[in-house]
This record gives sequence, C-alpha cells and structure tokens, in this order.
Amino acid sequence: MTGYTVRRYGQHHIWIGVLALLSVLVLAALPAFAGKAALRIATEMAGYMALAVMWNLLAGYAGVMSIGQQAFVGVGAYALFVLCGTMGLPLIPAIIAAGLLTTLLSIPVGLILFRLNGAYFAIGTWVVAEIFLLLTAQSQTLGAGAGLSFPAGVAKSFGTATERAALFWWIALSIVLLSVGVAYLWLRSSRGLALTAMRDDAEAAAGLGVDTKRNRLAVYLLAAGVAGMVGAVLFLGKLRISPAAAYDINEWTASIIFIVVIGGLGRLEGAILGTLIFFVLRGFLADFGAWYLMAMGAIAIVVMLRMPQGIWGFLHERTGIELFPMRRDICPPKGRAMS
Amino acid sequence: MLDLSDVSFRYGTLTVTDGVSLSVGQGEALGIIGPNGAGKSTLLDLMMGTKLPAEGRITFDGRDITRMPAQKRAGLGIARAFQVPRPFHGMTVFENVLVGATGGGRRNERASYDLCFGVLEQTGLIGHAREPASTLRLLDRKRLELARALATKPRLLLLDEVAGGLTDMECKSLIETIRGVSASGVAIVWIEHIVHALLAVVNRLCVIDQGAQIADGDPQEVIQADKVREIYMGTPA
Ligand SMILES: Nc1ncnc2c1ncn2[C@@H]1O[C@H](COP(=O)(O)OP(=O)(O)OP(=O)(O)O)[C@@H](O)[C@H]1O
Ligand SMILES: [Mg+2]
Repeated sequence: MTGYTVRRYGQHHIWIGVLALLSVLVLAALPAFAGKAALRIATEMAGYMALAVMWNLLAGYAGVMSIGQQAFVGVGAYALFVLCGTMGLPLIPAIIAAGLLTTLLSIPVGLILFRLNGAYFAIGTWVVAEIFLLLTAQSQTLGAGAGLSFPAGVAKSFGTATERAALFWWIALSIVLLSVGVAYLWLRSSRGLALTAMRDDAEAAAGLGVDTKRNRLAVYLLAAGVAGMVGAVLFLGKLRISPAAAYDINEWTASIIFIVVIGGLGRLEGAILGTLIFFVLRGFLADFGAWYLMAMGAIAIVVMLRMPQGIWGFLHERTGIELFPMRRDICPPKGRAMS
Repeated sequence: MLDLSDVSFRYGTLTVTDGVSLSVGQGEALGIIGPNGAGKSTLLDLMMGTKLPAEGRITFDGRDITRMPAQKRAGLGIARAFQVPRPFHGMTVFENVLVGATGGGRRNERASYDLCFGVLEQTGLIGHAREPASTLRLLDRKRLELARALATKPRLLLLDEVAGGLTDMECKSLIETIRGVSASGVAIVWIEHIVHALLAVVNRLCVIDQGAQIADGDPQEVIQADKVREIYMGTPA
C-alpha cells in the first residue's frame, strides 16, 4: 500500500450531471414546443452528432481513417425501407435490425480492410462504399438507380406528419444518447485509456499490451452499427431513398470530418460542439449556393491552422474544462504534497 | 528464457540485423554496446515484436514467438523502453503508467492503482504523477519509459539508452533503480553508450557491429578484446 488514492469525480461534476439530465429532459420534451420543421432539423442534427461521435472514436482514437462510413449509412437505410416498408416489421425492431445488420456486415469488411495500411485503408473504405452503391443500383428489388419511396400507408400508420416528426426525433435522440453514452463509458474505462494510448502512439501502446487490432475492429463494428441506425432514421424522415443519396460521401463522410475536425479530433466533446457549429453555419450559409461549400472549407482550414486540436481542444487546453469527466485525480497520503 | 537463432532483418537490400544468435537467461542482465547505427535498437524491436525478422527464429520459454505481435509478447512478460521516449502525450504521467499496469486495458483498473504508485515511487516520478506527460523534461521522460515498462510486471525488460543525456547524479540514481529491478529477478537487456553505467549492472556483454554480433561474454573480457577496442573505441589495439 502506498497511501495514494485516485478520484474520478470532483464536486462540480455533480452539477454537470444535473445539467446533462436537465438537457436530456428538455430535448425529450422538444415536440411539446417545437414545430415539425424544427424537429426535422433536430433529428438530422442528432443523426450527424451520432456519426461524428463515432467517426471521432474511429479516426481520433483508434487511428482508423475511414472515409467510407456512408457504406453503412446506406445499407442501414435500405434495410429499414425493406424490413419496415416492404416486409412490415414494426419500426423500432426494424431500426435495431438495421443496426445489427450493418454491424454484422462490418465484420468481414473490417477484417479484409484492416489488412491494408494507411492511405490504402482509407481508399479501401471508400471503394467498399462505392461497391455497395453499385450493387444497390443494380437491384430491381431496391428500385435500382431511382430508389424507393417509403409506402405511404406504412408511414401513415406512425401517425400524422407532426406525430411522425416527434417519433423520429425520439428515435434519433435515443441513438445519439446511446452513442455518446457508450463512447463516454468506453473512453472513461481502462479499455478507453488503452484506446487513448493508441491515439497518441499505437506502436508504444502495443508494446504495453494494448491489443490494437482488436480495439480497432471493436470501434469499427460499433461505428458501423450506429451508422446503420442513423441511416435508417434519417431516410425514414425523408420518406425517399436513392443510391446516390444513401451512399453520398459528401453528406455522410465529408461533413462529418468537418464537424470532428473543427470541434476537436480525439475529444468526445469535440464531436458534439462541432455538430452544433456545423448546423449553425449551414443555417446561415445554405442560401449562398456553391459559396456555402467554399466558406465551410475555408473555415475548416482556418480552424486547422489556428487550433490544430479543434475548438474544444483549444478551450480545454486554456481552461482544463471537460464536460465528460475522464480524469484521474491523484490524492497524496496525508502530510505529503504533490506538484 | 529468450533465444534468438540466426535472426536477420533488412530494409530492402540493407541488412540491419545479420544472422544474430543470442540468448538471455532467467534473471540475467545482458548489456549490448556497438557504434551508432549498428542495429542495436532494431535488435530490441525484433525481441519486442515491433519488427518481425526476415529470417531466423525467436523463442521465449521454449515457445516459438518469431511472428508473434508485440501486444501478445507484452502478455508473456516482455516490455521495452524506447531510446527516444514516446510518452502518450495526451495523458498524465499516472495514466501513462496505468496503460502498462492494466495490461493494455485488460486488467481491472482499481486493482492496478497500487502497482502504478509503487512503480512511480520506484522510478522517482511520483511527484509528477498528475502532470501531463507532454510537459516532462528529458530525464523524466526517460524515467517514464522505464516506469511504463515496469508497470507491466515484465519478466524480461528491454532498455534502450535510458541513461543517455543524464548528469552523473541522475545516472547514478538510474543505475540504482535498474540494479534493484535486476536484483528482483527480472531479466534485462540493456543497450547503452555509457559503458561504465552498463558495467555497473550487467553480468554479460554483447557487442554488435554492422548488424552482426562480434563478441559475447564476460563484460570485462569483452571490453578488453582487441576486436572490440578497435571497432567500438575506434582505437586500434
Ligand atoms: N526506416 C529505415 N529505413 C532504412 N534504414 C533504416 C531505417 N531505420 C533505421 N535504418 C538504419 O538501420 C540501421 C540500424 O538502426 P538502429 O536504430 O537499430 O541502430 P542503433 O544501433 O540503435 O543506433 P544508435 O546507437 O544510433 O541508436 C541504421 O544504419 C539506420 O540508418
Ligand atoms: Mg538505437
């Protein structure tokens, strides 16, 4: 016994916890005071946030540079249209099934892709997404290139347009809470510490016993499952799906990278803050057509140059603030001081 | 305990490790010296599994580990300290050590705390436990390399120039620490340019030149050998 102890929570974390709980309650009650249009945007935001949290785990921690997560968004979305729209499975089980399906699918895909290194891996993930797109576009059952509409009868069975918007919002909210919750508990644990070690130096981590391969695969599976469910709920909201939209690299990867990079790669809070910033910017800039993308690109470059750790990383470095307590505070034995 | 037989490693056509056969016994302390670029660090990479050999065979406790990756070897009880410290810069010193102590996140965290504090005390880092690893000075970074490796409770510890760049006082305390580790029964392979530090600890010395092993035996005899004086000290006997 050395007499030193470790504390995982401080006093102020109680307040953060209370605040988090209140925010969740307010978010869950959103349909009571927000209209259809606002709920749709909120739903989309939740979906993007879940994708961003996952991409941050992939690229920011596990060192898995995937630019092909649209593969799982697309498959998940199509799975929902078939399972719920065509085959009549109830909505919630269908969304869970879509997530399970993409998780399962990611096992062989991951095992093959992880044989590739660095840039080849990234390109590989994109090629896989393109293959899925081509396969989908070939399938008559999936509506080929034109895609599918969600059967109006089934959609009506979920209620009026307003009730549907609320339902889809709750589903999206559950997905993002689940993603953030799992990511947080993971990163906080000793396994998460191992993942953080991989972020900083994968080779040194392996030398200390961190199973880098297994961790990479685990993160990849989780991210695929979440992407599948996000695809399902977001396309459900649109009630239409086509291969080009479902496997769109701009929408499902480029925007997500933007979010994570400006928010702060390798920080859980970064993905959340990044999503908020992204939607605010998009709201302001969307009317400017092509200028919108250029402005977003310029902003990303400025942030990367001035704050390489992203906006959250910048704030964290100055203030030590963390929304999700992960630190390990060391308390020396009585009569012993620490620097 | 660890046996290398006829192990070679190449970068393209450049042979960096050239048919090295070497064994480390239970609890033994083996020193390795050799000129810059001789391939010493590469030899440690091969022992740890960070690099895999082109030819040859490596066994640990009689078990073939030639193609076993580093994370599995860590589980068997091999640990290494890098020549150029590679701390996990986004973590505190304590968390760096905890990665090793939990066996890469597989063992229970709380049950590993005391091991961490013990290792931090042993390596003189306890006062820095809370600090971000990125703010450490060179000496403390080197200590952290050692601490992180020790936290895995290794049976074989691979050290790469942990004494380089230290003052005499610092070097002395480091020697004491390593001697203590050795006395506790851990086998050690230690690469070091500071020969007197090495000689204070090791009971066998091996010389590497241009990837090949040119001497291996009792430290004093090896140091006196003409071949070694010529190549290593640069002074013909
Ligand atoms: N990535 C690489 N590509 C090609 N050659 C390399 C590479 N890395 C190292 N080398 C060469 O391999 C040889 C052995 O390097 P190594 O680091 O094992 O030497 P060392 O004995 O540890 O040297 P030092 O005493 O300077 O630490 C050197 O000649 C070096 O130039
Ligand atoms: Mg070296």
